[in-house]
Amino acid sequence: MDTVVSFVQESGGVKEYKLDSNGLQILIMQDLSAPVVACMITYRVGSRNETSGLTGATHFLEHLMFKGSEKYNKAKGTSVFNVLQDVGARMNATTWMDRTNYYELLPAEHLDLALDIESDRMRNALILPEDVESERTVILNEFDRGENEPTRKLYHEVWTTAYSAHPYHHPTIGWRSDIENVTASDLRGFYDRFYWPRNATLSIVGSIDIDEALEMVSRRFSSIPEGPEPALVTTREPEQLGLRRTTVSQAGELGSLMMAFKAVSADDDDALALDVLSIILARGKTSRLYRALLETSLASGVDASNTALRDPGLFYVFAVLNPESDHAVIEEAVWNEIQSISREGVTQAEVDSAIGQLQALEAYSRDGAFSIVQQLNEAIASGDWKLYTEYLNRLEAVTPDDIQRVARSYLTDNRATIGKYIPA
Amino acid sequence: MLRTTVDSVVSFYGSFATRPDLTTNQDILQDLAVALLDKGTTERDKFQIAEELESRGAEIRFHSMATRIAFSGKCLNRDVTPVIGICAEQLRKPSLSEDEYNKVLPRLQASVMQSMESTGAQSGSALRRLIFDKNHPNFAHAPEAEMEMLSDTKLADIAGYYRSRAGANEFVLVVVGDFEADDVTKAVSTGFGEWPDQNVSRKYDRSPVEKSGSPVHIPMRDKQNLDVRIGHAVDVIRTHRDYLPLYLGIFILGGNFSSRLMDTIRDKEGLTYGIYAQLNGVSSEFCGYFLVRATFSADTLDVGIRRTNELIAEFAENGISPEELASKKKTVSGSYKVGLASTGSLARTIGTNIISGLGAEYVDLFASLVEGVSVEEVNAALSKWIDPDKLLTATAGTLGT
Repeated sequence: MDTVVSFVQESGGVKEYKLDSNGLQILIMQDLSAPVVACMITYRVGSRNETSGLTGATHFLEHLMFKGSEKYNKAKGTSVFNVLQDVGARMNATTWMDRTNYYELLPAEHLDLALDIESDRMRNALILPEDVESERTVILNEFDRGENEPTRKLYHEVWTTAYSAHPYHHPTIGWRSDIENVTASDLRGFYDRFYWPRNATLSIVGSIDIDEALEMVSRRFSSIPEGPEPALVTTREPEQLGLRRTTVSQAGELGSLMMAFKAVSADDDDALALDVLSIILARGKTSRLYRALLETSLASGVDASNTALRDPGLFYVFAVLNPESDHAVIEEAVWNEIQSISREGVTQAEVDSAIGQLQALEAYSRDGAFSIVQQLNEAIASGDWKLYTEYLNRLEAVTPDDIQRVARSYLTDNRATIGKYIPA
Repeated sequence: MLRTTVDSVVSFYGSFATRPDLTTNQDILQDLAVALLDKGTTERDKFQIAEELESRGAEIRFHSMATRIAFSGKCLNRDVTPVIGICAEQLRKPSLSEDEYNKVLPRLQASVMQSMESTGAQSGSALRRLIFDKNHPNFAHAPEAEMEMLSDTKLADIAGYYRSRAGANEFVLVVVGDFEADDVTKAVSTGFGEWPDQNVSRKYDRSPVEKSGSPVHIPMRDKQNLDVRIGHAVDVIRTHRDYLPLYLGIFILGGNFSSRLMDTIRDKEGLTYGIYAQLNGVSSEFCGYFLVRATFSADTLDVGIRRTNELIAEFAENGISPEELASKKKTVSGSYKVGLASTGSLARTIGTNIISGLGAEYVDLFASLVEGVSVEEVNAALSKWIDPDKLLTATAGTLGT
């Protein structure tokens, strides 16, 4: 192979290369457990890059990327769906706050087809006004599907209330009026700012020969210019000065409660302690909130999670009430557990058990090529793909003192947004 | 057992026949019994078991199915012996205690109440009530009726049901991943050896009765997106020779993003976010149904349903083309292969194939069987089994004013 790709580094079995001509980052890993390959391209653009009036543009554009290019389009019988599904590929795309990703999981011998499609639509998407119009009603139906779900509305309301300046304020699908009014020209502008090699990472995991795969990547992507300097999001969320509350009232059956706290970015070491804390609080029957809420029949379900994002995200506890329960009682029970941890800390046994669970989850995440690229995708979006491969090593350093410290630092009134869903 | 090259991970999937008597609502007793399986055994309480599993990061789940109880699990290879042991203990010696029953019951009721908030769940279950009688495994209770039945259950009935049905009845266990065969053999033998059979003869209807009816609408407030379910019964079981041709034909209609329905209703006409067709609820023991599911916003509901019915009618009348079949054969075979890419999916697929009477080797035969299906077979199967005049419709959501 000609030296058109440069080796950069290796971590956790994943090799990083760079395409010399345009700086495209390539992550590649051989996994021979099944005769398939997962191919994913992650663009470092998400709803965080949207401005007022253009909310939902990232997601809208994601839909348009399936509408075709000169080479792959329905009129020629070569739509992306047709040609990929003809070879049995499972494919789709997703948009989130920090990234947009397009993926194919397909029989390994068809990797080159996936690469051809992704390299083609990186710069050759048509984005026609008539396609924008037909897709607008599709997206409005998707929007309505989301509006049907009270818990999803609660989730959005809590983020919107927690963030007043940072673009994590608005939902990824956008506000309805923006979806109704965005134009093909707006979307073209968005595309031309963000869909370039220097703003993308290509991940390939599966039953492949690495040199052959790199040769295919080089052949498909080398001729694309590197593109403009990626646009930075400079808005920082101002300091919160008190507890915030929000309520969603909508027809339904069971209430729910979301208690969220502004926390840290994914690359902060405290993110690991918060991950462990989320397990101690709410994963499995041995967790504290299972005992406090489910054993007492106050709630029918409870979950806790630290949202790993590029900028500081939310650590949250989410509980679904039992029919006779009251939001205030659940909230008090959650505060009690948080205060108990802040005051008295947690045991070494709790930390060991939580780390054991996270270690197993990491091993499970390597079961299947697609699962691996999904993990890489989120780490790329957070700013560094090695956040995935180095996770276990960094996790082992978490101590009970760290858990107590992060509970004291982040799970406080001044960082809290509490949302209630009350069935109307 | 199937060893794969995945590093450290073992997945397993198993099930045994129970065949609840649907006329006496034993399906509800089974749901409750299954919900109690991870709540302690006669030897250990649920927290002792949870500590064993959670400290290892292991997972075991139990599932109540129409005629069987299934279980699945995942663990690291170093833990395969104790985890299979715990699974066997939970299945064979559940405590089924009053205390746990009193905690599980409101959780199941909450779960039914949550399904009442879902337009998809409401329309799907309404269609199954339209198509099937109560004594067919594809029948679905109305959520209000299910709430009432849950309230009426007694622990003694649940325990009696479980103890009379749980056993090595047509027992299947598939283990896939990175393990030593001797370890698994010993663990399975210790855990499940000498588990006696129970008499679980069939008491339900295998075939549907002929049904017709007007469209049913489940009114729901604040649901601007409506879910639509259209379908009718198909008297075909999994081992019927028409199954594969029919499956391929329906896949062409609505199996994926490049299907006829998605291509027209979503891509060309922009009426929906998603519309799919499938052959649903088919097993080796009872027939299933042809199902089209879609979502429409309130202002496109009428035109969406009309266009969907027109496309189904056109499809049933004219059948499929050789080009469509050739294309979708590649899709179906390829996606079957792709779907086996993790230990969990491989274990579940092999287990389901064995239960369906297709055998463990079916995963290797599938592609050639698909390849052998002709256009004539597909069109004959569609002509025989898909009838636009028999379609029943259920919708759920907030109708426009």
